[in-house]
Amino acid sequence: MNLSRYIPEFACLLLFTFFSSLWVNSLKEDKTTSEKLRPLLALEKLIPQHEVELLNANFSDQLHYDQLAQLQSEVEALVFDVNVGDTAEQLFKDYKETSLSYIQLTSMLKTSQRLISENVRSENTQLMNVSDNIRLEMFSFISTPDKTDKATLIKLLNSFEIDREQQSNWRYLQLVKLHSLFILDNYELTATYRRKLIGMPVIEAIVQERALLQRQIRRTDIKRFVGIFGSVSGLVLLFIVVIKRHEYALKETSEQHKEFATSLMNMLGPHAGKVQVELAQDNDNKDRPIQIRRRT
Amino acid sequence: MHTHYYISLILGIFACSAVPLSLYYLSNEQSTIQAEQATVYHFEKVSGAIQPIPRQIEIDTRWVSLGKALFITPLLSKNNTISCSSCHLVDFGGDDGFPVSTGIDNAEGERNSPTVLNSSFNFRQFWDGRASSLSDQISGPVHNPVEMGSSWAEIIKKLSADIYFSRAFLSLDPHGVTRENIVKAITTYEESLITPDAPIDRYLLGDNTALTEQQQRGLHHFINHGCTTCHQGINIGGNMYQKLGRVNTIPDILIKDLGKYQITKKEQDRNVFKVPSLRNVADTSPYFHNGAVDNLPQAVRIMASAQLGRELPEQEVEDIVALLHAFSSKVIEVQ
Repeated sequence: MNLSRYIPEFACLLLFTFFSSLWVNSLKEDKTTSEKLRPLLALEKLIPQHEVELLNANFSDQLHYDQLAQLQSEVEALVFDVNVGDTAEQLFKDYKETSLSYIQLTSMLKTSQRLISENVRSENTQLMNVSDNIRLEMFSFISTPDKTDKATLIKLLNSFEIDREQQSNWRYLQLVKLHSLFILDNYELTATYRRKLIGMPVIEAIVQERALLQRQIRRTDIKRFVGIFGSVSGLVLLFIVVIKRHEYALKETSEQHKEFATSLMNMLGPHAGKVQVELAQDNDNKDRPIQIRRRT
Repeated sequence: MHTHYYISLILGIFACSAVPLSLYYLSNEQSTIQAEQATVYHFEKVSGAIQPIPRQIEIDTRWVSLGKALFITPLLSKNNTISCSSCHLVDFGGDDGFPVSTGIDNAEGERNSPTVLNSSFNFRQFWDGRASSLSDQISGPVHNPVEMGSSWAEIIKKLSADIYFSRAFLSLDPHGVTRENIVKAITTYEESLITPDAPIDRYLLGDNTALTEQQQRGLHHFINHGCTTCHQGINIGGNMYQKLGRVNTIPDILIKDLGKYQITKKEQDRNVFKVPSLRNVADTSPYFHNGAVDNLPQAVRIMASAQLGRELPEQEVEDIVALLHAFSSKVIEVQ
């Protein structure tokens, strides 16, 4: 059997296999890319909500952080799922860690500010003046953080010794001292975290990564279209080859018949009209000779 | 034209179609994601720092039953001696009552076992919050050599050989005993372990008689002294990290464990822990990450001093302890 005769059919089948595999591959790629895109889109929606909730935590009427915790949990789960470049990954990690540090400090700062602002009466006027002075300096520092204010406050806080035995309101004074020191140590750091969170280009990174994936999806769409077109073309070409082969076979048979008829006419000469030739061809076996029957 | 030709052609088309079809089948098989029916809690919001635990829950009870069976089976441990319930006694506060838990071969753990009750309301799991969800957390004790010391392969083998478990898994999922299904069952069961209707919840929802006078005074101190800075929300904690000794020094008995620092090695994480929930706290002694303190008044004094810089008068300690008893309730019966 001469297989080289069927090269066009093989070529069409190969074409069909290649393009249909390309089509299937593009479907898989499309699915994978969409799966990569899903957490990014969810993050794009959640991060602004999380940021708002995080910054709201600073307000005194924000009494619990369940909503923030839930968003934090969702964001972290998505950050774990998301498949992005190294820069974006680092950015997400930074955002996550900064937000966790920020909420620890900001929630505590709120409490510290509230506790030192509580008014406690004492008979010791000198002490009350000192504590009033501390509060005044402290709120001035909070409104406009300044290194001089900070130094003055630390000096002021260290100027009074809290003697448990002698002072009736030592508990309050100890509280004021500890919380004031806490505010002084952490207020600027918290503000730095806040600025960092506000300025962090997380959304920009998400948009960039999303654009990359969307471009990839478009490329996959083109690949899918080429795959569909190619595989359909392969099949159409195959059909044409089969038709052509069929046509060629018919033509060849017809030519053979014509040739045979002509040679027979030539062979019989004047008796040609008395001869009836019956031609038969077995379609199943091309090699079977043509049968000629003579009737006189 | 020959019949052979057409037969070969058709066979060729089939053979060539098999290539993309098998590719499609393989890629589809790999990316099959099991759709999960999530548990739904019906939250009731009130104004204030503490929120009530939902009284209504929609949960897949079939997975809860299987999860409960898995929770109490020792087959999850290497030598079949320890189960989840060995360290988390659901009817007794959800922990084991020891400073640190005992694992396989009598090995001692490093931290106090946290309560499993209401753990689904925690934003992270473990004392250092290293697991982001209940399902992430399960691998921890299973693989920990001083807890269950096992592996998923071993567990799947043992559960598959067990008639009850193999049938129970197959009745819920055609894939049978798999790591994902074990995790799903245990997680769903843990999600069902919530304790609504504690006196504090009833009080928050409008029943003014739910708290005694002393407990109401305790609530007043709890809020005004600043305990709700960290212990707030549904779980009265469990929704943030905080540094132990944020404002003042902490006792030596609590200082050795560096908490989150042990994972991140960052200075800012030194002695930082996930704020534990105060739900059912009266039933979960001893206290703190290493179970070093065995009574509530002492725990209250330590926290007031270390976190808030306060030395509380005895009466206030007693009031707050009375309030802490109002945070206890029994586990909801899932219908």
